[in-house]
Amino acid sequence: MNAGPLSQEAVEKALTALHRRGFLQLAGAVAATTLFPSGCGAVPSELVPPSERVPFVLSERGYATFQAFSMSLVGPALAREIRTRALDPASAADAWVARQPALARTLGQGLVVLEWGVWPLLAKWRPFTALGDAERERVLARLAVSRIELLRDLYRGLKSLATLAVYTDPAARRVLGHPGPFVAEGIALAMQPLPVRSRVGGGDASGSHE
Amino acid sequence: MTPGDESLRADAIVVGTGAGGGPAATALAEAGLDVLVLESGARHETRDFDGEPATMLPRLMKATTVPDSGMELYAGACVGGSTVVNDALCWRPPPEVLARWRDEYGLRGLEDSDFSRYADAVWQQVHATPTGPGDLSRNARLLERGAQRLGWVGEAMARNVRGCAHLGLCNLGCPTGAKQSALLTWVPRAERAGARVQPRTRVERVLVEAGRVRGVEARRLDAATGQAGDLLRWESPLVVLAAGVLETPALLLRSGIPAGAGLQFHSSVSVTARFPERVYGFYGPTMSYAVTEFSDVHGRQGPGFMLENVTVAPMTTAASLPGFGPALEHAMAALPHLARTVVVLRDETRGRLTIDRQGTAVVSYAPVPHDLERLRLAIRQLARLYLAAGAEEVWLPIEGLAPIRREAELGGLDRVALTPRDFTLLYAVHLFGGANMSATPQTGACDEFGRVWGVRGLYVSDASCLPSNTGANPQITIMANALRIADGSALASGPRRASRRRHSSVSS
Ligand SMILES: Cc1cc2nc3c(=O)[nH]c(=O)nc-3n(C[C@H](O)[C@H](O)[C@H](O)COP(=O)(O)OP(=O)(O)OC[C@H]3O[C@@H](n4cnc5c(N)ncnc54)[C@H](O)[C@@H]3O)c2cc1C
Ligand code: SF4
Repeated sequence: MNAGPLSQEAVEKALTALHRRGFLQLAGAVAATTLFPSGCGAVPSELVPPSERVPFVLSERGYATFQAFSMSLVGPALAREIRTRALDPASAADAWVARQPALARTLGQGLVVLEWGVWPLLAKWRPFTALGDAERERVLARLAVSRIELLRDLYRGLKSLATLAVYTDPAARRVLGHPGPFVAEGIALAMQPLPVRSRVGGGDASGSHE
Repeated sequence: MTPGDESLRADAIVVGTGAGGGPAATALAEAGLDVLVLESGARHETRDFDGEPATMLPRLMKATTVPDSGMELYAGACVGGSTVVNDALCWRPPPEVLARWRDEYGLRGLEDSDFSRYADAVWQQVHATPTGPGDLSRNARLLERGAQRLGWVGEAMARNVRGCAHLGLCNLGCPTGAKQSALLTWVPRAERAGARVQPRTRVERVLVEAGRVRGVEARRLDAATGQAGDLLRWESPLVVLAAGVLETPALLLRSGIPAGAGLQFHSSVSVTARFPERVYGFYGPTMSYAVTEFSDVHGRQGPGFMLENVTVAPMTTAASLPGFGPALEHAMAALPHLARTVVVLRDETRGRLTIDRQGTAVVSYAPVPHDLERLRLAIRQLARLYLAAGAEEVWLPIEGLAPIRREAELGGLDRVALTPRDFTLLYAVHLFGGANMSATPQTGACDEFGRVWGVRGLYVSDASCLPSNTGANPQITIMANALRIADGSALASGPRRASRRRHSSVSS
């Protein structure tokens, strides 16, 4: 099914009318009625939580949605690490929000909105986890600069949690070229004077690329 | 256990152990009072600080999102408060700000000379030390280089450190013990003078009877689960609140005492730039150099912001970069070559703190257009500075904007109709007000000596009693004001205790 002639603008206007809290509560209530499944049926296997996972607040579907969002956010190299489970941002985020019950509820609701709210953004009646990489990126692009505050909040909130979960994981450092804390040579380099470079025009023409 | 069946007494209770609580507890204990210090956070020692954000951040910090602007607020949540996670930057109280507090807010008691005396004592106690060239990282030097090429004024900032090893982990507790936070300075000093510090004890309410403070109600927090225990009652004729801007006003409101107006922050956003050479900006002091050209304190008359280099820690860098997917990957792949600087804006916005039905603080803070425009100006100037310093690419902290390579591409920044939600990460770590000192009970929560209007024996000594923001990193100002207030409250606490007074906190 697709959304037919509904334009992006019309949908955004309709959504703007919904009070922010009301919208989130609506999403929460909908999730609670199990109208939208919280299990992982029909979710790609790479997004399904590992069997040994200790769940805190995220449902299986919430886990998969967060994992999919994180992969789209961080780009292909770190997404590969998530796919091979060297990085597991959904488990990290789950443990993190378990300490903050108020946040846990909002996160759960936000993930329901992301997973099932694709159609107004892409005119496709499919959950976020079932989309291909390019389509997921289009969803993120719409959310990031949406005129609807709620959707931008959703993007910012998930981005903030996903960056926390991915980039604080020591396993991400190798990909980023960060030697890790307490590495004496690295610290020494950071404190060395800058190499002298010739200056051309308004900026520098690079001399040394050490 | 039922409420009230554990009763403890002290000459004075101090709530919180950060920049406002540590000095107050010290001054009161050294004046000879039996001081009980209640702190909701846990006590960690230097050996516990492992430099890993995944373990340290949840233990040491708490974050709050402002619903009406999406702004993020950060504060310390452990013994030592925000001083344990701060960047160790030290500025003396700006004379212009003190003058404004006297002239505009009618706080006549805030004499320069008096305040300076306390600031001197603080400076010495926390070991505020000039930052020499050997302590400037490449990240800091790139900021300095850009400023010099544009002819802008800047300086290396003093830091409260002893033998800094340049690890770049100041926000995660300092693993070497170099940073002289309240955990290593004020708290042990207060304990040496006899103060009893109770971590994991959250004060819920101040007890007031017939216009006099009688003590506080608090709950112990379970070490393993964080679960709150039964309500306990601690009695004292003198209570000093220093639970920080996000809690002191809430505590007053939960106790039926008016508070919450006049919040003011230093809003921050950061600009990131890629250089051909390796910067390794995740090492080195987390912050150390400031461009003061645009500041409006310490003799400058600019539009009111400082530009301070900041660590290129992966998480905060990624959160402040615009974009996602391949674009974010492209920027983060250059991590070793990135430099980053944060804007510290002296906001004009005023916000308010209220409490919800559970008594939890709710912050309302919607940046006024003038502040948003100054943030735009600050971002523009930073981008220019980085390009002048030789940056190959500069990322502006606005979602939807592509990185720029030359000044001519700054037009995109001007075309954005800025709202707070357009920023990738708009945040504040310098929080002020909510229990402001004021000339009258109608205009604030306490008088110029921190005495809460209408409740004898109740004081406020943290950043929440400052009547406005300071335009410079505030920990020294907060500590100096706390010492001043605590000295006054110790003197006012009666002849019996005054006679036990050993020595003044200013003669450390
Ligand atoms: C990340 C970061 C970096 C910073 N960098 C700098 C810098 O480089 N230089 C600078 O000058 N300033 C800096 N600051 C700001 C500075 O540290 C703070 O302004 C200052 O510490 C505030 O002092 P305070 O006493 O008001 O609050 P805090 O220092 O935060 O102390 C409040 C204490 O009260 C406790 N508490 C809260 N509620 C309760 C309760 N109900 N019962 C009992 N205890 C409670 C908290 O756990 C905390 O320990 C930074 C702040 C942060 C967060
Ligand atoms: S740079 Fe390192 S050693 Fe220096 S104060 Fe910060 S954490 Fe401590």
